[in-house]
Amino acid sequence: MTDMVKLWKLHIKKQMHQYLFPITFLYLFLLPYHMQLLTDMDEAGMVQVFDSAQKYLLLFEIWFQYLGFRMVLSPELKEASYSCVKKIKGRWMLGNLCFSFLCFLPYALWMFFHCGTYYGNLLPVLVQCIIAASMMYTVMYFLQSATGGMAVMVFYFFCCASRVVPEPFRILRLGILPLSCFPHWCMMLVISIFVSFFVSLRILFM
Amino acid sequence: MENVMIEINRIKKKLGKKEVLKGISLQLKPSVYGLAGANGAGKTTLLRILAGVMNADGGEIVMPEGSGQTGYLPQKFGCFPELTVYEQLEYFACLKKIPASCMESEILRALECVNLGGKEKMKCRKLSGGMVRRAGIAQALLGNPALLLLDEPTVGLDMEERKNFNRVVREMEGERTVLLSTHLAEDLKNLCQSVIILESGEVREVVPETYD
Amino acid sequence: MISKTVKYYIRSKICTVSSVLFFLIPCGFAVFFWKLGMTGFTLLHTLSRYNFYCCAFLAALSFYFISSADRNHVKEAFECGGKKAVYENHALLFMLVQVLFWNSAMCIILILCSMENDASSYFISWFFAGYLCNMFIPQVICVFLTYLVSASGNPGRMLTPEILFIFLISPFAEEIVWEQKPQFPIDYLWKKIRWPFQILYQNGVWSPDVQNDLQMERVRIYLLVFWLLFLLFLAASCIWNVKPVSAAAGIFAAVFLVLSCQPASVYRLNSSWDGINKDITDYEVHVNDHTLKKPDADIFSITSYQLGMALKNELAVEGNLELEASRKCRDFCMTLYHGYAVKELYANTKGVTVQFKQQNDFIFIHADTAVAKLSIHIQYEGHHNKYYANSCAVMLPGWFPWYPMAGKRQVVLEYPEYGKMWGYSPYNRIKKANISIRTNQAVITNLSDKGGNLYEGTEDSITVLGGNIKKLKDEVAADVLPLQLYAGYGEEEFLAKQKEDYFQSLEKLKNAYGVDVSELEHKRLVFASKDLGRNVTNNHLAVFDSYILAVPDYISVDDFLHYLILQDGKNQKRREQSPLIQMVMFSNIDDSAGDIVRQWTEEIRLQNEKPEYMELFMEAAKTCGSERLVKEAVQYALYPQKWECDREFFEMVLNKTEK
Repeated sequence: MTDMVKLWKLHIKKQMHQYLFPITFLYLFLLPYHMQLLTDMDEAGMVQVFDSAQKYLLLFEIWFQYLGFRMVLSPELKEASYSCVKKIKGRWMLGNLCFSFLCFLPYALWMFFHCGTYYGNLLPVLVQCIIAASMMYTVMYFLQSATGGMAVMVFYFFCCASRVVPEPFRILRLGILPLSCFPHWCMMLVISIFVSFFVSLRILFM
Repeated sequence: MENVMIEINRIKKKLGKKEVLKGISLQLKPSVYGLAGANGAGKTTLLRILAGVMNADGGEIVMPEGSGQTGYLPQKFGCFPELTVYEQLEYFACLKKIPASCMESEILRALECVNLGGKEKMKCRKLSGGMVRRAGIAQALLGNPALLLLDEPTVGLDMEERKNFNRVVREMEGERTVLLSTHLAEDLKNLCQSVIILESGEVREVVPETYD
Repeated sequence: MISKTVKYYIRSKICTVSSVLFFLIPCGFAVFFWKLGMTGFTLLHTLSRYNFYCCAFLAALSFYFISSADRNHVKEAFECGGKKAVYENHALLFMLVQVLFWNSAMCIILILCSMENDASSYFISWFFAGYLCNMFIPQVICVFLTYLVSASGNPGRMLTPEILFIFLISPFAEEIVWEQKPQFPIDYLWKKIRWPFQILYQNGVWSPDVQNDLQMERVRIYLLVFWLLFLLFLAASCIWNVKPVSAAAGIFAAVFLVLSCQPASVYRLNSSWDGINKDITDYEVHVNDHTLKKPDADIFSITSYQLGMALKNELAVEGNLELEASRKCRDFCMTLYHGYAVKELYANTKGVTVQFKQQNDFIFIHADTAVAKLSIHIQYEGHHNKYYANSCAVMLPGWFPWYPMAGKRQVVLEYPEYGKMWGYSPYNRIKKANISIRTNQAVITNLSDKGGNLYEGTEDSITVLGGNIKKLKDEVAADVLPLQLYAGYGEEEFLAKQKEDYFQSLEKLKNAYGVDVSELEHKRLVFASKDLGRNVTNNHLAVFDSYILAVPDYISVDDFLHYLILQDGKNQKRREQSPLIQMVMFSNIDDSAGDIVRQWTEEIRLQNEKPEYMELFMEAAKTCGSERLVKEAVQYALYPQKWECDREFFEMVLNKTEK
């Protein structure tokens, strides 16, 4: 655990700017933007807020996972560190996830207290982040490339955002309150199958 | 100063805050020179500057006119995985502007020199580390370069291949200038007519006799 | 050499499959939409809206391909002999050739689509510049930027700024707008950061204005040129080491960036508080504050306008006005929209000096001597967010104070009877004046065209339109919007339909509803695009002395009726209190009388009006018939002051019938 913390510190120190940018954007621009949307506490306003929150939190989650695995899966370190990372990579992904949640926490708390009766919609958004992180983790290891994993996830994200992907296959559901489609039994089932399929691929090939 | 091939006059290079080369001056004739020194002495930097990959911060390099191409094998060398060995060398041959009429024969000759003859159609992704290194030596040999710069050329090569490599280099004695950076005493002993010892960015010594 | 690079590209499965997808999917969709019947303009607009995804995809593919040498540790060997970025240069060239082929294919599809689905060849002669700015150049910028990232010493590290660039040009960044003015000007900071990154077509969720270009303003073109030069500067200084080119490119890039930051009239329909909602922010609409009031008696009028209009980045007007008052006075007040700043105002009349003050929408002039006639020289420039005026297009309706109007005018109106909706006042008119305007480009106005961009006439307003608008030689219709036409609905069909709508509407108003149409008859029809009325309501049609300014297909009984009803500001409160008038205003009067009465019956039931009301209504409908009831209801809506309440009206109707 101590080693993982040290590894964390190294990652943050070396990629300080890359971590800081989304956090700065979230609190400097996105939060005030949502603040002004929340003046109308009606469903239409809430949909707008949560649509925006979903999109950005998912993108940031993808970015944080990329930063977390960028060095580990780099061509230079990949091979040399393989045997060590093999044991800890699952925990490392969870660590990235926890770190991103820690960064989002003030924003999440603020949303929780300012959304009135709609606060419950925050949970599905965070679950979406977890699912996205798991999917990305699996894709990254499948491709053995952090950049490749990020590219695939961003492509999937855009497909969800532009509604190209059929509804049950979308983790990003726009236009309705997240709580309305959570837990959408069909979506959760499909996503569970998707994640477990890639998990089993991982066990087989990695 | 007879038969001077290349003159290196007070070459300086700074990387970040560190002065890697502090005014190196050398005169290189057509011969095989070894470049030795501790890690961080500036060997790779000097080779890169001579190859033209990097620009020096000061000084000059004088090469006689009509001196021809430079062949360079970097420390880290790879191949495009989708290309075959032949195609990879063909790429380099085009860069070196080898005429199309003699390109094929030149590539095959280079491959023969490094014992990769017969493997032209093999995809680069299937090559072992040593084979990739040999392909790198082959691309450096393309076009009969007047100046050959080899950075740790024998890394990854087996005993047999090292012997083969030594033979190829010895055949070039007197024909061209070969500058070979290596940590292996054996290579310095067997191949080099002179050894340039670098220390902290300066030429510590040039040993004219074979290193013993 | 390039052939080797191509060979490598084709060998790489990722590159080949990506290229195939890049060609198939967008071209496939374009062909699909073409076959669905989309016009050329609509198809180009759709492509422009989605070009971000093409650019992002190109950037990803370019990064993968161009950074291959570095990724596979061949770059250093390639660069032996001092040849910097040799592989990257060839890879860039190949990517640009691909982009060229892709865009050529798209242009061919657009041309074929236009030939099949458009009514005229206007689109084909027009679209190329718009296509370049909205499709081709942004893609080239993205590929070039990716080349710089890939050819830099550390592509992995430089990828982060590129991702930031992709984010800032994306529709996600575009979505972040502040609908209300924030206390801390964070939105100002965000806009300033984002402005250089607006290289793609903005406002993806809005339908395009067919009159305006596809965001082809000069400032946007300067921005695109800035990026091309800036990237050239970076390439020349960091990679190619060509100092003269780099210096020249750098200087010109800085110049174009500065030029692009000039104030300009740009038509961007985001929901920002200083975008489409600027009016709400400026005027802070409150209940009953802006209902149409009878104007104060005019102390003076402007009898002559001699104006020179320069349409460049925004509107710049300079000229002379002749003011004539009924008696000598020192103070004159004119209305000019506050977006136009008065730079200069002085008296031409000898012996008179004037001072002026511009406050909100008014210009207060104070003369040192009391005069009955005053000639002034005025110079102003500026722009409005919706009523654009630039070198590409112009939308300056005659009821909007883009030119000085005598007296204090109401610029916006609220309509309580419409549920507090509001809009610009389409009722502002000036006293007939001798007008002469000279523009720097051909425009369409209500004035007579004297040639050489000079327009003159004696009119009660000055309407200036420009852009994708074609003048007609018809007696009734002055112009047409060619991009709105489609196969089977060409110019002739358009003219026939608009004239038919106009004449039939007048006939129905006169015969079926007994409305006095004398002020609506014998007018020329001047058409502007639908965005004339984008500000909610009642701006789609306006009646002037000699012409009607209207949006095509908005000349109907309904539109005329609303125009006439809402003109009567005195009785707005009365109308608000009458359920029957409310129903008249929200009905589609073009429907048959029977349908209208059925709708009203249903509405009364839903609104739970008192049973006596329903009884009265049903009795009136039964007794006098649907047609007569609707006719009388329309008269009631036009002149509500004649009856105290709905009950009185129904009783009148019943009494009339009995007689």
